[in-house]
Parts: sequence; C-alpha cells; structure tokens
Amino acid sequence: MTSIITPEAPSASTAMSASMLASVDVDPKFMKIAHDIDSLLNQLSPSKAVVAPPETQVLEQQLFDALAAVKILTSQVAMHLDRELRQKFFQQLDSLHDVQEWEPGDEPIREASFATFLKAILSINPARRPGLGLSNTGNLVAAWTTGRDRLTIEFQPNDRVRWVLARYRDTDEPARFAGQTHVFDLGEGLAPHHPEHWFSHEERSDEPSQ
Amino acid sequence: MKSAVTNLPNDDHVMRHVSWTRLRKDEDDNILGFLPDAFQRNENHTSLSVNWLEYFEGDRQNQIQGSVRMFRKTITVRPKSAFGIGNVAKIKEVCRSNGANVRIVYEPEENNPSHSGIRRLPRDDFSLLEALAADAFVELVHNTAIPLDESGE
Repeated sequence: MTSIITPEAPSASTAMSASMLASVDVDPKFMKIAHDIDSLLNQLSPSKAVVAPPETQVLEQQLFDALAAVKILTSQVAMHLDRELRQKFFQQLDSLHDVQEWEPGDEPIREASFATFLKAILSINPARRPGLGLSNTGNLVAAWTTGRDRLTIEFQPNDRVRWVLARYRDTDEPARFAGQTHVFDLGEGLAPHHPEHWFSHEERSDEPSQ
Repeated sequence: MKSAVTNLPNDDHVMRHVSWTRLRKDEDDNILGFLPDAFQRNENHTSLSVNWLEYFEGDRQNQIQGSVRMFRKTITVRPKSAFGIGNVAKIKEVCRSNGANVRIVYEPEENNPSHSGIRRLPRDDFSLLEALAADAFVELVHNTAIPLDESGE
C-alpha cells in the first residue's frame, strides 16, 4: 500500500527565522541566500512525494530519502558553494549514512538541521572542512580538531546552533567555553576564541588514531 | 563469576560502544575520538550503558577482547564503530567538575553480566558530554582491531 503525504506546513519557528533576519546585522546578499534556503526547506521535495508507510519502509529507502533531501537543498544554493567543497560534503554525508554502518536507533540527518549547517558554512566560510557526525536526534554535528583542541558545533532546526570548544594551553586542564545562539550570531560568539585556530589549514596538527 | 557490587571501584574501567555517526572524525573521515553525543543517554534510560572492563578475567588485552565480544553478542556492532574506555574515578571527577555527581554502578543483565551504568548523568549538557568525550574516555579501541572469536562474535 502506498500513501500520499502532503507537504508539511512551515513551522512557526521556521517562519520566524526569515523575519528574525531583519533584526540581525548581516550582509544583505547572505540574507537573500538564507531566505532561499528557508523557502526550499518548506517546499515538497520529489523524494517526499510518495512515501511508503513506516512499517514497510526499508532502511535503505529512509537513508536515501534523507540524503536526497539535503543534496537537493544543497544544489539549490550550489552557486554559493565551491564545487569541490560540495562534493566533499556529499562524500562525508554518504559515508555517515552508509547502510553497512547504520545501527538500530540511529536517526538520519534532519533536513532542517542541514539547512542551519548550510547557513553557518556560508556565513563563517571556514577554509578547513569539519569532520561530520550526527546527534541522537539526527542533527548534524561538525567537529574541528587541532591537536588536542576541539571545536564542536551542533546544528539544530530553526537556525539554532550550540557549540562547545576546548583549548589546552600549557596544562592538562583545558579552558572550555560553550554557547547556544542563532546561526547568524555564531561568528560573533566564536570570535573571542580565535576560531581561525580550527578553521585554517595552517593551524592543523592533529593525527588520526591508530 | 565475580560477585555483584553496587559502585564500581575507582581504579576500574568501563567501556562504551560508539557508533560510526558518533565518532569524532577529521574532514577525510579519519577517526580522532568521540563526539559529545557518544555519551548522551537514551531518553527512556536512567543511566548510560557501559561494560565493566575488570569483570573479564586476564590481562588488559583479554579484558578488552572479552568486553568487545560481549557487546557483539548483545547489541549490533558495525565494522567501523569503536569503543571508548574510561577510568571510573576520572569519569566521576570530570562529571563533578561540570556540576554532576554521577554514580557508576554494576547493573548486570541476563545476557550481559558485565553491564554497568553511569547514573545521574545529565542528558543534554553539551559541555559535560564534551568533557567526557575529551578527558574521561581517553582510550579508543577500533572494532576491527579485535578479532572474532570461535563463535564468530
């Protein structure tokens, strides 16, 4: 049996995000991109047009649908993202959703979380890509690691981000800072902590575990 | 079999299974450690599930093998997943310095007699979970590093 689902109505908080833009001091060009992302988020994507009931929907289809949704979203703002960067992100997302590695209880990426991620990447424009992971609820988590120093950002729906960073100066006791902000305030929130320490290639000195 | 205890000894260690999606990676998917989310307990659980490493006999390597194989028998363990090991006293210290007074207790289950739990762990404290990931669970074991036993586990 196949059921037809209707597009989800824009949530109050999603609708609010566009109006919130006006109150935040950001580049008008970037506001336009962010607005486009919000608009796309509220449209019915082809992958969502016909969905089998949950009881018959196989895992592979769920993962495919989740990936298709975020790739379509990315393609709509492709002109603002370097082609190679886009392909690398897609590879990381494919790897995250590898069906051979998928464990019971894991949640595929949420489209609304990825929309926040896109806005953040376009806004802070880091030279170095982050490693990617997923929260228990399917929010995208980005991790930059420089030596022992760590910056971790969780991208939540409705343009919210929360971040935590740890810097080990001369001792084993790190200085740890955390914040929770609107995505457009992320750069300002990180600024006192010199985020270039994580975002630039020059600072990188981490080694993969053996 | 060792007798059941309530609190695990401070000198002992616990092991946590971490799925591929909760591993900290670099931009090329090289594994560097754990994300904070690796230590977030399930919403409907009162404690964070771990295995008590010293439950298993033998030297350190035997204990690690025993614990990993116990995980393979009781939960789904995928090839690229990993395991974090933390010292009991260190976990409690890290939690305490982040405002949480946790207990790490032996909670044997029928199919997993090494099962233990970290209780009173706040579920959504991102800083605390990050501190656990960075400073408490400091040893990482790749699933692929532990060979299968005779039964294929």
